[in-house]
Amino acid sequence: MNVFRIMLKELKVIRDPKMLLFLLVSPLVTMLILGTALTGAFNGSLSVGEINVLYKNNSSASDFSRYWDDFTGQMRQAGIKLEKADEKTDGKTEVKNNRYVGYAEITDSGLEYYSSSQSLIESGIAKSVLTAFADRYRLAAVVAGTDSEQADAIMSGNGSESYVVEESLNATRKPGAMDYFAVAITTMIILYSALTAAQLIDGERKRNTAVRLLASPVTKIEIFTGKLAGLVVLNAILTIIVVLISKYVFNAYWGENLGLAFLILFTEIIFAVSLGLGLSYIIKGNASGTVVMIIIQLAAFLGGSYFPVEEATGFMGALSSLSPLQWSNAALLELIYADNMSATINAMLLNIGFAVVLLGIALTMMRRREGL
Amino acid sequence: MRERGTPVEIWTMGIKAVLLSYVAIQSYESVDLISTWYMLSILIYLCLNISIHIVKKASSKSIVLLLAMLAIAVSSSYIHPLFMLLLPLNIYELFAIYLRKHGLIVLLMLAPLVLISQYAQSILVTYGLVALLSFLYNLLLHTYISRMTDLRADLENRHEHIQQLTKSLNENKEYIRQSDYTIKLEERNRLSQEIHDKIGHSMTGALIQMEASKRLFTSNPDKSAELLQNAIHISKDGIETIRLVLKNMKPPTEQLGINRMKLFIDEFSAKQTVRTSLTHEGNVDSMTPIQWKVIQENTQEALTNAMKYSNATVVSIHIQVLRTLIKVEVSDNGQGAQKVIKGLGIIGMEERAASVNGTIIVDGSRGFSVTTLIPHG
Amino acid sequence: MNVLEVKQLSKKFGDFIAVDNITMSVKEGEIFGFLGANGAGKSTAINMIASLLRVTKGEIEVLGKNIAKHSKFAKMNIGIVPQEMAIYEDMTAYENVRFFAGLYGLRGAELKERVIEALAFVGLGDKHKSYPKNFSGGMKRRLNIACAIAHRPKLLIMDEPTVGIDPQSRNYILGSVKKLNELGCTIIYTSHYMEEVEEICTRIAIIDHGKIIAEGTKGQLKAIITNQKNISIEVRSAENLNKSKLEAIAGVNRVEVEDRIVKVTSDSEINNLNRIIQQLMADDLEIRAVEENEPSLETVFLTLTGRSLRDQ
Repeated sequence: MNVFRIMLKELKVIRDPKMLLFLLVSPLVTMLILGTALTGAFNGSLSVGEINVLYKNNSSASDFSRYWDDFTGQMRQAGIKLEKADEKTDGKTEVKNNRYVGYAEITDSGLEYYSSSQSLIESGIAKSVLTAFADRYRLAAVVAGTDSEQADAIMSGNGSESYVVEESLNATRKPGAMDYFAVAITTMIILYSALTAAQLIDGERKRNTAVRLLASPVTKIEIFTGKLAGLVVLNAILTIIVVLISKYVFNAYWGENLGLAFLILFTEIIFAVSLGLGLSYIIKGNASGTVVMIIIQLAAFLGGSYFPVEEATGFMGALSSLSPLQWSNAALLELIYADNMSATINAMLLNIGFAVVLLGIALTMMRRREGL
Repeated sequence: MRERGTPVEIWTMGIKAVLLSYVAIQSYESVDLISTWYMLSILIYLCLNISIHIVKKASSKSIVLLLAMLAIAVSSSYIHPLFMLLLPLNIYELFAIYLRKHGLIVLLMLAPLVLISQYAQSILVTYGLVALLSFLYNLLLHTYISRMTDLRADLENRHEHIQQLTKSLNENKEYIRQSDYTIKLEERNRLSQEIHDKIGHSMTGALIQMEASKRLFTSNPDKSAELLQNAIHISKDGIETIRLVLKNMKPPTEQLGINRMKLFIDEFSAKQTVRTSLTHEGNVDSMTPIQWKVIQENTQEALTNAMKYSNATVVSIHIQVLRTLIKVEVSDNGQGAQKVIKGLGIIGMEERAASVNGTIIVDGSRGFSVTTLIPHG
Repeated sequence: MNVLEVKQLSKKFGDFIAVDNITMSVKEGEIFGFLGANGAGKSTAINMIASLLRVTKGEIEVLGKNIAKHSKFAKMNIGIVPQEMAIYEDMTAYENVRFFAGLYGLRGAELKERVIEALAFVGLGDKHKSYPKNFSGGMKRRLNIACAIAHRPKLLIMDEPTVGIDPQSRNYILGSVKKLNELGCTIIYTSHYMEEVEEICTRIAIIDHGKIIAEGTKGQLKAIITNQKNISIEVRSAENLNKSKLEAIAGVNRVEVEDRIVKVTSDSEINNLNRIIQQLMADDLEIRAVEENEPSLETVFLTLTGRSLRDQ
């Protein structure tokens, strides 16, 4: 009950309009500025041009030719042009000259594919489509022995089994500048709550209210928990508002699984708050605020709050993997654009784990100390 | 109550950190891929091992330790066998709560070897090494800590003993002083008795002779002159006796009260380079010899301190007799001390003052000053 | 029963001894004054009593219960008015008092009632919705007190509650302290202002370098220095003065006449001023001015500690 009272007291900060404006407006404005100014830096709008693939069909199987024609037809619709090479043409040279992104040679023993090293993306797409075809054909060939209708069904494919459904190939689902910064700025602004957390206990000390809290029949743990809970709830509310505004006003894409995204953000809040609190106990006095500020700035810089670091390699890549923001950012991006849960669990475990260690340190130091 | 952190915890945490880094580095080299589960188990290990020091009750401590051991066992079997190396320290910690015999504990620490020999032979030797080293480390720590505790207890006992001795010494001194005083009183009593007995009697004798001489003055002048001569002799002797007795009886004034203090201060300043001044106000004669004694001894101590530490050039002693309190302040113009730390000297002064229900105030903010306050009247 | 019992209490900070073996007790209904220079150990002692600092050595009992063993009981029965303002500037006066009173287990209607009562008591009944940042120093001090009394403590500890405020607010606060005391609250009061302590405290301890060097009522403390007071009476003409009759009045020790001033030295414990004046009037002396000189507490403090309370 006392914990709840102290928590409610912490939440009263919201009533200060200036504070609220700062807490809400600053992330949104940063998002807007970075999201619009840096649009060019993102290839979200870059579309893949027509993909031309040269092929030579040396197969003797009649079934195969039928299926292959069918396939080329389907591919044309998807923007992949499969062109039959005449006998004289050397497919490999054509590819080398970058007239085609790939060259496929079909024989009875299988399908050979030479890909271009110049247009990697297009060639990659073509390769994956061809692989899919080859796989299906192999299956159909086996089935055809017993049931040819089934084999036809496999090869013609119905809507859901179309060759080109992979969403990762869909250009619209790559993060645009606004999508990216909606995520990055939200995680960064959460990390800033470490700064407030560093002042959490020190603030009571400075206002001398720590004296009253300690003199009252409330245990130190209750005070600690109440204040912590207050800060976490406050930040959770702010985060939800920021996310919703970015989603509905700025049209940032937050994926299908908003609940899970919030869960990641929530664990990050707990981590950030514990970081600030832990450091404020380890480093006494005003220095803790400075240290927390430096950590936040470094984490933001390395963790991709100002520019994406996904593709960073080498030294920079190693550094960025140290940033606590990187876990959360990576997890969120994976979740939103790839529906990949493993990174999500990673990030949540790391956040909670570090939070527990930091809080443990803070609690141990607090028990030792006289006063709060 | 110990205000500072116990060193034991820091030492145990230190060895754990060393082992953990060894495990981390070794396993990184052998697997070169750090999985989430790997990170998680390290975090769990850290959490549990930190919370061992947070909980206070032995029972909850054992629970946390059991959990930690369980976590180690699980992570060593599923994630990396090297985690096993973290086990011996926790085994020691757990059983050290309950077992006195270290031989048993070392056996328990080595017990997992049986399991390891079947499932993870690669770390068999390393485990043995780590277990034995951990055991020795803890044994050493244990011995060192218990010896420290013993020494500290011993020191405290001695300190208390010294205090008691100082106190009884002061009391004894007081007793001597008191009996000294009583003896003096008795002596005076005896002397006055003597005056009364001897001189009184001889004077009476002289008076009788003179009376007789007066009667015989006309009838027998010769006899009268003889008697008179006798009386003169008796009187002369009497006066001599009076002088002798008085000289013996009256204590020399320089032996008492403020005069004795003056003498002492003069002696002190003759020997030392500092200038000293003694001032007093109020009725110093009303002070008892015991009070004087305490004051003088404290003053002596304070002066010695001033000479030793203060670099002062002037030391002043002020005795103030208020209505119900005597205040004696010995202050110098030296460097003073921002923080006054009670040494044996100050404790001694305190004890002396306490023997007459007084207190000592030591101040180092404006030069150094020692004030003795003694209730009185 | 003694509301507070302190036995051989000591507090060390490292090697420094802030409170050195003090023993004292405060009885129910007293206003107990703590006099001491800055750093004398007053606040340290008070903070140990209020469980804000750990005790190095010794025992503290509140209402007969040891505070180490019955920490919650002790805290429930103690209210503390810290020297520094301890209020939240971003919460209204009402919210401040309600928050702190709520920590003492007060709930619902009772809580509301007590908060209103406490605010009215310190004269902030019309300032419920105001924020302390807009308050004057005196109003903040009063709010500081309201936060400490809403839970009706048996023992109220006030550490310099009147520092740096206007005389009007100070008088109000002193009045409130007396009123609280009349309502049955035992009070420990520290102040730099000797006259405040002299005015309201029933018993006073002088503390210096961590030790209590004198303790007692005002009269007892003054009697340490002297039990005499000087009364100077200026008259138009002292010719008709009947000296022997004046000397016969109880307590009068000496009468001297200097020109037109009659100087009477008397026992300070006996209140005989009225009788002296009556005697002078009976002798038909026209009294122009009467001045009574007693040693002040300030003098006592100065004599015992060698410094004035104010020259910090």
